[in-house]
Amino acid sequence: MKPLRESFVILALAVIPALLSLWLHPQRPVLAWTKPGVEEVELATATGWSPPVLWVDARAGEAFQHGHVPDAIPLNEASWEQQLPGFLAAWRPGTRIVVYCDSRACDASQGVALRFERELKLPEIYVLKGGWASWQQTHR
Amino acid sequence: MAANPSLRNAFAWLGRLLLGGTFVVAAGFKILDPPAFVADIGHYRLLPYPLAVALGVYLPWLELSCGAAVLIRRLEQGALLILAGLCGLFSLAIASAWARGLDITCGCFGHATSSSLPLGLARSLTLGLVALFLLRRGHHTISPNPNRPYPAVRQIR
Repeated sequence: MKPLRESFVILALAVIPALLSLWLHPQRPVLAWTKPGVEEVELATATGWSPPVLWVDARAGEAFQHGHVPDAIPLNEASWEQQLPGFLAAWRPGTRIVVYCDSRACDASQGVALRFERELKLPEIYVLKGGWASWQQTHR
Repeated sequence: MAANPSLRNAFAWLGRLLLGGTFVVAAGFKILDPPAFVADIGHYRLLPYPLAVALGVYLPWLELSCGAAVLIRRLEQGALLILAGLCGLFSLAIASAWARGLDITCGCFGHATSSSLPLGLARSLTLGLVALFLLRRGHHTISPNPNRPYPAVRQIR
Protein backbone atom coordinates (compact mmCIF):
# COMPACT_ATOMS: atom_id res chain seq x y z
CA MET A 1 0.00 0.00 0.00
CA LYS A 2 2.88 2.36 0.71
CA PRO A 3 4.05 2.56 -2.93
CA LEU A 4 0.47 3.14 -4.08
CA ARG A 5 -0.13 5.93 -1.52
CA GLU A 6 3.15 7.61 -2.39
CA SER A 7 2.45 7.34 -6.12
CA PHE A 8 -0.91 9.12 -5.71
CA VAL A 9 0.87 11.92 -3.84
CA ILE A 10 3.43 12.33 -6.63
CA LEU A 11 0.78 12.15 -9.37
CA ALA A 12 -1.19 14.89 -7.64
CA LEU A 13 1.83 17.08 -6.86
CA ALA A 14 3.02 17.02 -10.49
CA VAL A 15 -0.25 18.61 -11.62
CA ILE A 16 0.66 21.93 -9.98
CA PRO A 17 3.80 22.80 -11.96
CA ALA A 18 2.16 21.39 -15.11
CA LEU A 19 -0.76 23.81 -14.81
CA LEU A 20 1.59 26.68 -14.01
CA SER A 21 3.64 25.77 -17.07
CA LEU A 22 0.53 25.79 -19.26
CA TRP A 23 -0.26 29.30 -18.01
CA LEU A 24 3.18 30.90 -17.79
CA HIS A 25 5.57 29.06 -20.15
CA PRO A 26 6.66 31.39 -22.99
CA GLN A 27 6.50 28.44 -25.39
CA ARG A 28 3.30 26.78 -24.24
CA PRO A 29 1.65 24.55 -26.87
CA VAL A 30 -1.39 25.67 -28.82
CA LEU A 31 -4.61 24.60 -27.10
CA ALA A 32 -7.00 23.38 -29.77
CA TRP A 33 -9.32 20.49 -30.47
CA THR A 34 -7.47 19.56 -33.64
CA LYS A 35 -3.76 19.53 -34.35
CA PRO A 36 -2.50 22.71 -35.97
CA GLY A 37 -0.23 21.81 -38.85
CA VAL A 38 1.31 23.07 -42.00
CA GLU A 39 -0.86 23.02 -45.11
CA GLU A 40 -0.53 19.96 -47.34
CA VAL A 41 -0.19 20.26 -51.10
CA GLU A 42 -0.79 17.72 -53.86
CA LEU A 43 2.18 16.79 -56.04
CA ALA A 44 0.46 18.00 -59.21
CA THR A 45 -0.14 21.42 -57.64
CA ALA A 46 3.40 21.80 -56.31
CA THR A 47 5.06 20.80 -59.59
CA GLY A 48 2.82 23.27 -61.42
CA TRP A 49 3.99 26.27 -59.39
CA SER A 50 6.19 28.79 -61.11
CA PRO A 51 9.67 29.22 -59.63
CA PRO A 52 11.11 29.76 -57.14
CA VAL A 53 10.12 26.53 -55.38
CA LEU A 54 12.51 24.88 -52.94
CA TRP A 55 12.05 21.17 -52.24
CA VAL A 56 13.20 19.94 -48.83
CA ASP A 57 13.83 16.25 -48.14
CA ALA A 58 13.04 15.55 -44.46
CA ARG A 59 13.88 11.85 -44.54
CA ALA A 60 16.45 10.62 -42.02
CA GLY A 61 19.49 8.47 -42.76
CA GLU A 62 20.75 7.67 -46.22
CA ALA A 63 17.39 7.83 -47.98
CA PHE A 64 18.38 11.05 -49.72
CA GLN A 65 21.44 9.39 -51.29
CA HIS A 66 19.26 6.65 -52.80
CA GLY A 67 16.97 9.07 -54.58
CA HIS A 68 15.30 12.44 -54.13
CA VAL A 69 13.33 15.12 -55.90
CA PRO A 70 15.69 16.92 -58.33
CA ASP A 71 17.43 19.91 -56.69
CA ALA A 72 15.94 19.01 -53.27
CA ILE A 73 17.85 20.05 -50.14
CA PRO A 74 18.26 17.43 -47.38
CA LEU A 75 17.14 18.74 -43.98
CA ASN A 76 15.87 16.44 -41.25
CA GLU A 77 15.44 17.00 -37.53
CA ALA A 78 18.16 14.51 -36.63
CA SER A 79 20.80 16.52 -38.53
CA TRP A 80 19.21 19.96 -38.21
CA GLU A 81 22.29 21.90 -37.10
CA GLN A 82 24.54 20.36 -39.78
CA GLN A 83 22.12 20.64 -42.70
CA LEU A 84 20.44 23.99 -41.97
CA PRO A 85 23.26 26.11 -43.51
CA GLY A 86 22.75 24.30 -46.83
CA PHE A 87 19.06 25.14 -46.77
CA LEU A 88 19.64 28.77 -45.83
CA ALA A 89 22.14 29.14 -48.68
CA ALA A 90 19.49 27.95 -51.15
CA TRP A 91 16.50 29.89 -49.81
CA ARG A 92 15.56 33.33 -51.10
CA PRO A 93 12.67 35.62 -50.08
CA GLY A 94 9.55 34.79 -52.03
CA THR A 95 10.45 31.09 -52.35
CA ARG A 96 7.74 28.49 -51.81
CA ILE A 97 9.04 25.62 -49.68
CA VAL A 98 7.72 22.08 -50.14
CA VAL A 99 8.80 19.56 -47.50
CA TYR A 100 8.44 15.81 -48.02
CA CYS A 101 9.29 12.58 -46.25
CA ASP A 102 8.74 8.92 -47.08
CA SER A 103 5.01 8.63 -47.49
CA ARG A 104 1.65 9.55 -46.03
CA ALA A 105 2.53 7.57 -42.86
CA CYS A 106 5.50 9.69 -41.79
CA ASP A 107 5.40 12.92 -39.82
CA ALA A 108 8.97 14.03 -40.37
CA SER A 109 7.92 16.56 -43.01
CA GLN A 110 5.43 18.22 -40.63
CA GLY A 111 8.12 18.38 -37.97
CA VAL A 112 10.56 20.15 -40.30
CA ALA A 113 7.86 22.43 -41.67
CA LEU A 114 6.73 23.45 -38.18
CA ARG A 115 10.33 24.25 -37.23
CA PHE A 116 10.56 26.49 -40.31
CA GLU A 117 7.46 28.32 -39.05
CA ARG A 118 8.45 28.55 -35.37
CA GLU A 119 12.20 29.03 -35.52
CA LEU A 120 12.84 30.72 -38.86
CA LYS A 121 9.45 32.46 -39.25
CA LEU A 122 9.38 31.54 -42.93
CA PRO A 123 6.18 32.03 -44.95
CA GLU A 124 4.90 29.86 -47.80
CA ILE A 125 5.68 26.44 -46.33
CA TYR A 126 3.87 23.33 -47.52
CA VAL A 127 4.05 19.60 -46.89
CA LEU A 128 3.85 17.27 -49.87
CA LYS A 129 0.81 15.00 -49.59
CA GLY A 130 1.92 11.39 -50.01
CA GLY A 131 5.60 12.27 -49.70
CA TRP A 132 8.40 10.68 -51.70
CA ALA A 133 6.15 7.72 -52.48
CA SER A 134 3.81 9.96 -54.49
CA TRP A 135 6.78 11.39 -56.46
CA GLN A 136 8.03 7.88 -57.26
CA GLN A 137 4.57 6.81 -58.46
CA THR A 138 4.40 9.73 -60.88
CA HIS A 139 8.02 9.67 -62.03
CA ARG A 140 8.80 5.98 -62.59
CA MET B 1 24.60 -18.50 -3.33
CA ALA B 2 23.21 -15.14 -2.06
CA ALA B 3 24.84 -12.06 -3.54
CA ASN B 4 27.18 -10.04 -1.36
CA PRO B 5 25.05 -7.40 0.46
CA SER B 6 27.52 -4.62 -0.28
CA LEU B 7 27.47 -5.60 -3.97
CA ARG B 8 23.66 -5.49 -3.95
CA ASN B 9 23.81 -2.08 -2.26
CA ALA B 10 26.23 -0.84 -4.89
CA PHE B 11 23.95 -2.05 -7.70
CA ALA B 12 21.00 -0.38 -6.02
CA TRP B 13 22.91 2.88 -5.64
CA LEU B 14 23.96 2.81 -9.29
CA GLY B 15 20.46 1.87 -10.36
CA ARG B 16 18.99 4.83 -8.49
CA LEU B 17 21.50 7.19 -10.05
CA LEU B 18 20.87 5.84 -13.54
CA LEU B 19 17.08 5.78 -13.27
CA GLY B 20 16.62 9.04 -11.37
CA GLY B 21 19.28 10.88 -13.33
CA THR B 22 17.95 9.77 -16.71
CA PHE B 23 14.42 10.88 -15.96
CA VAL B 24 15.48 14.22 -14.46
CA VAL B 25 17.61 15.03 -17.53
CA ALA B 26 14.96 13.81 -19.99
CA ALA B 27 12.28 15.85 -18.23
CA GLY B 28 14.45 18.95 -18.30
CA PHE B 29 14.75 18.91 -22.09
CA LYS B 30 11.01 18.38 -22.52
CA ILE B 31 10.07 21.12 -20.03
CA LEU B 32 12.15 23.61 -22.01
CA ASP B 33 10.22 22.97 -25.26
CA PRO B 34 6.65 21.75 -24.64
CA PRO B 35 5.40 22.15 -28.23
CA ALA B 36 8.20 19.94 -29.52
CA PHE B 37 7.32 17.21 -27.04
CA VAL B 38 3.62 17.51 -27.90
CA ALA B 39 4.60 17.08 -31.56
CA ASP B 40 6.70 14.01 -30.68
CA ILE B 41 3.71 12.46 -28.90
CA GLY B 42 1.54 13.25 -31.90
CA HIS B 43 3.97 11.45 -34.21
CA TYR B 44 3.02 8.15 -32.57
CA ARG B 45 -0.55 8.59 -33.86
CA LEU B 46 -2.02 7.01 -30.72
CA LEU B 47 -3.80 9.93 -29.03
CA PRO B 48 -6.09 12.75 -30.15
CA TYR B 49 -4.45 16.18 -30.16
CA PRO B 50 -6.00 17.51 -26.90
CA LEU B 51 -4.76 14.45 -24.99
CA ALA B 52 -1.33 14.79 -26.58
CA VAL B 53 -1.19 18.37 -25.30
CA ALA B 54 -2.29 17.36 -21.78
CA LEU B 55 0.29 14.59 -21.68
CA GLY B 56 2.96 16.74 -23.28
CA VAL B 57 2.58 19.32 -20.54
CA TYR B 58 2.04 16.96 -17.56
CA LEU B 59 4.38 14.07 -18.29
CA PRO B 60 7.72 15.96 -18.08
CA TRP B 61 6.78 17.30 -14.63
CA LEU B 62 5.77 13.82 -13.52
CA GLU B 63 9.09 12.43 -14.78
CA LEU B 64 11.00 15.20 -13.03
CA SER B 65 9.15 14.59 -9.76
CA CYS B 66 9.72 10.84 -9.91
CA GLY B 67 13.37 11.14 -10.93
CA ALA B 68 14.05 13.59 -8.11
CA ALA B 69 12.16 11.40 -5.62
CA VAL B 70 14.36 8.43 -6.54
CA LEU B 71 17.56 10.48 -6.24
CA ILE B 72 16.75 12.07 -2.88
CA ARG B 73 14.95 8.93 -1.61
CA ARG B 74 11.73 10.63 -0.56
CA LEU B 75 8.45 9.01 -1.68
CA GLU B 76 10.83 6.63 -3.43
CA GLN B 77 8.58 3.59 -3.58
CA GLY B 78 5.78 5.56 -5.18
CA ALA B 79 8.17 7.11 -7.68
CA LEU B 80 9.56 3.70 -8.62
CA LEU B 81 6.04 2.35 -9.12
CA ILE B 82 5.18 5.23 -11.45
CA LEU B 83 8.48 4.97 -13.36
CA ALA B 84 8.04 1.23 -13.86
CA GLY B 85 4.56 1.89 -15.23
CA LEU B 86 5.78 4.71 -17.47
CA CYS B 87 8.59 2.58 -18.87
CA GLY B 88 6.09 -0.14 -19.64
CA LEU B 89 3.79 2.29 -21.44
CA PHE B 90 6.69 3.90 -23.34
CA SER B 91 7.89 0.46 -24.44
CA LEU B 92 4.44 -0.44 -25.74
CA ALA B 93 4.11 2.85 -27.60
CA ILE B 94 7.56 2.56 -29.17
CA ALA B 95 7.00 -1.07 -30.14
CA SER B 96 3.67 -0.11 -31.68
CA ALA B 97 5.24 2.70 -33.74
CA TRP B 98 8.04 0.41 -34.86
CA ALA B 99 5.59 -2.30 -35.89
CA ARG B 100 3.54 0.24 -37.90
CA GLY B 101 6.68 1.41 -39.73
CA LEU B 102 6.40 5.01 -38.57
CA ASP B 103 9.31 7.18 -39.68
CA ILE B 104 9.77 8.94 -36.34
CA THR B 105 12.33 9.35 -33.57
CA CYS B 106 11.73 8.22 -30.02
CA GLY B 107 11.22 11.68 -28.48
CA CYS B 108 12.55 10.31 -25.19
CA PHE B 109 14.81 13.30 -24.59
CA GLY B 110 12.81 15.84 -26.53
CA HIS B 111 14.80 17.26 -29.45
CA ALA B 112 18.12 17.09 -27.60
CA THR B 113 18.84 13.72 -29.18
CA SER B 114 17.31 11.85 -32.08
CA SER B 115 17.38 8.29 -30.82
CA SER B 116 15.86 5.65 -33.06
CA LEU B 117 12.87 3.55 -32.03
CA PRO B 118 14.89 0.36 -31.35
CA LEU B 119 17.31 2.28 -29.11
CA GLY B 120 14.41 3.99 -27.34
CA LEU B 121 12.73 0.64 -26.81
CA ALA B 122 15.89 -0.94 -25.39
CA ARG B 123 16.37 2.02 -23.07
CA SER B 124 12.74 1.95 -21.84
CA LEU B 125 12.87 -1.75 -21.13
CA THR B 126 16.19 -1.46 -19.30
CA LEU B 127 15.02 1.43 -17.14
CA GLY B 128 11.77 -0.38 -16.42
CA LEU B 129 13.70 -3.42 -15.20
CA VAL B 130 15.89 -1.21 -13.01
CA ALA B 131 12.76 0.38 -11.50
CA LEU B 132 11.24 -3.04 -10.80
CA PHE B 133 14.50 -4.26 -9.23
CA LEU B 134 14.67 -1.24 -6.92
CA LEU B 135 10.96 -1.50 -6.11
CA ARG B 136 11.29 -5.15 -5.14
CA ARG B 137 14.43 -4.45 -3.16
CA GLY B 138 12.74 -1.64 -1.28
CA HIS B 139 9.77 -3.89 -0.45
CA HIS B 140 12.05 -6.54 1.08
CA THR B 141 14.23 -4.20 3.11
CA ILE B 142 11.47 -2.56 5.16
CA SER B 143 12.65 -2.59 8.76
CA PRO B 144 10.65 -5.08 10.84
CA ASN B 145 8.60 -3.87 13.77
CA PRO B 146 10.50 -5.12 16.90
CA ASN B 147 7.15 -5.78 18.58
CA ARG B 148 5.98 -8.14 15.85
CA PRO B 149 7.72 -11.10 14.16
CA TYR B 150 9.09 -10.52 10.64
CA PRO B 151 7.47 -11.01 8.19
CA ALA B 152 4.48 -9.49 9.97
CA VAL B 153 1.97 -12.09 11.13
CA ARG B 154 -1.63 -11.02 11.36
CA GLN B 155 -3.17 -12.23 14.60
CA ILE B 156 -6.53 -13.88 14.16
CA ARG B 157 -8.80 -13.17 17.08
